[in-house]
Amino acid sequence: MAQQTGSFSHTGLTPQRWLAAVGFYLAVGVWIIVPGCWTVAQAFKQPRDVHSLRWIPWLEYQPTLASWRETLADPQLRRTLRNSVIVSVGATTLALLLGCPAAYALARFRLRPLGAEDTLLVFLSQRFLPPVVVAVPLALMAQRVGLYDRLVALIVVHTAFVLPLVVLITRSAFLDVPPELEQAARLDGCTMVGAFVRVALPLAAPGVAAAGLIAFGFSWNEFVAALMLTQYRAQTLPLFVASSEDTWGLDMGRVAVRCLIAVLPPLAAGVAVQRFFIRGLTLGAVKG
Amino acid sequence: MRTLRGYLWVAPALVWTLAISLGPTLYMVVHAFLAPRFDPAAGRPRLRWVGFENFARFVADDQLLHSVWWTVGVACTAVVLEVVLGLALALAAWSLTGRAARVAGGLLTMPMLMAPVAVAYLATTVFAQDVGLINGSLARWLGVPPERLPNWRSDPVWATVAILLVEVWQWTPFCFAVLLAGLASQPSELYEAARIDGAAGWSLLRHVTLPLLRPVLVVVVLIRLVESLKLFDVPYGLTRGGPGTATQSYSMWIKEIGLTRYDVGLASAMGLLLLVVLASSGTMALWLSKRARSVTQG
Repeated sequence: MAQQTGSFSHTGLTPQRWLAAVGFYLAVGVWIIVPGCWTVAQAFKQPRDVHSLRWIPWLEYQPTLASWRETLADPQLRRTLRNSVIVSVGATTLALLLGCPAAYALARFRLRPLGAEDTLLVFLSQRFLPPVVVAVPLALMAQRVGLYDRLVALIVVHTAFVLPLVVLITRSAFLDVPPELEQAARLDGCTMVGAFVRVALPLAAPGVAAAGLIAFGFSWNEFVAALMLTQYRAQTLPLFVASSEDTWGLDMGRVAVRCLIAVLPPLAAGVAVQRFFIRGLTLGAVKG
Repeated sequence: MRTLRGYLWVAPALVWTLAISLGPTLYMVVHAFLAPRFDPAAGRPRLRWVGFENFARFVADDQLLHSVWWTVGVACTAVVLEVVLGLALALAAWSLTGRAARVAGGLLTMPMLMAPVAVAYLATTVFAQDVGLINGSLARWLGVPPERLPNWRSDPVWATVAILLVEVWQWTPFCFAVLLAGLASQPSELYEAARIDGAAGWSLLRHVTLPLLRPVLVVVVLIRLVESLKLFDVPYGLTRGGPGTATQSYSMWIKEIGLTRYDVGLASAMGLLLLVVLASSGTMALWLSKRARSVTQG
């Protein structure tokens, strides 16, 4: 979180500040704590307690790992979990391999006729393409060439989806590295590629790592393309979460477990890189 | 030479991105004007140029038009609520200092990291009719009789409200985080000067804070509007478009028409329309974000 220099911060404990504090913490409680506790409690309840508003373990209900055991034993969960890991890690790796050199060039070289800023805009504009518009033709093509329901197709598509974010974030990381260090390396006989790999890349490593984690989260959460390009073998975790039988009011314990499994990896990755996340989502408009 | 080499570094990423985005887009643009017609010479249907026939079929379909207004309505309502709530939360958090406020702010940004479809699916347990968090609490704490509890599932209006609530829950934190970052990057000298001039409280907010924040606000609104018009995951996970097709969003229709009915012409025409709307608002967002960048980072 950015450093806060509030408009009221010099005036001590004014009524406005009290109001702001109470309102803010109350909002966080209602927004995050209540649904969070509800979900976690549901995941550890027995089927007979799931349909009741019981919150406190041991006092109000006897916690159990039954829902977890049942869900983790489900072969389709294991398959989709494995697929999700393969697709997200694969797409992230590819996007970093392709995106870092591009971002470095956009940060350092003079490009013509299209300048660095405008080339960056070409990347960023991809974020406005509605996923259905891309995914419906891709699914029709994939069905024709035998790539339907294959992990490879999903990796290729997800790589393209996350590349703009990777380029945007790593470019600003390279811009923060002073170019003098690479110039010194060049004078000592380093090639351009050598200066990039040995000097710029290690110095920009935090930004590159952040880009990787954000790309991982995006690919992990992606639903529309995964829905249209897969049927069974290559299904990813969000599809498994959504594809299940009618669950309104039924089996709420297992719903909670599935969602927790789907939600936790990107949460863990995202909390570490929050400020980069904001920069990526606003197309670089806000530094965060 | 130097410029050519620069492009060699950029080319792989650029080609990959454009191949996956431009290829399918061109496919859609072309197929929007094609439809299968029986060809007596070949003895089977063939794709023929049909002009705007696919668009005419779209405009004549009441269900599809309903989804247009429904999607636009949900998107606009959601964006207004998200930005207003996000701004209020950001202003509140901005006036707080210390570890507790930072932790609370971090907690508040968690929803936007979650898979929307998982959030929607989880919400089915919150909105469940008799046993969900909301209806269960209404019955228990407020004593609402069962027949007067909101029918989240079979009433189109309440189903829409549920989708709206999930959207707002997930994306208000985004507006909060971006606006807070925008507030934090404002120059403090201006506040010193305004305070010396006797500005405080509301007048400080109205005449200094909000005008300074305007470029960031505009970008947030546009980005959220573009994203909301793509609405797909949440209705899919929460209502499956039901009851009936009352909450089937525009994007969900494109998927169903293109991949279930295989009416590629109609799906392409609808996709093209969505693309035009999003591309124009997106271009505006990019142009404004370039300007905002020079304001917030200059």
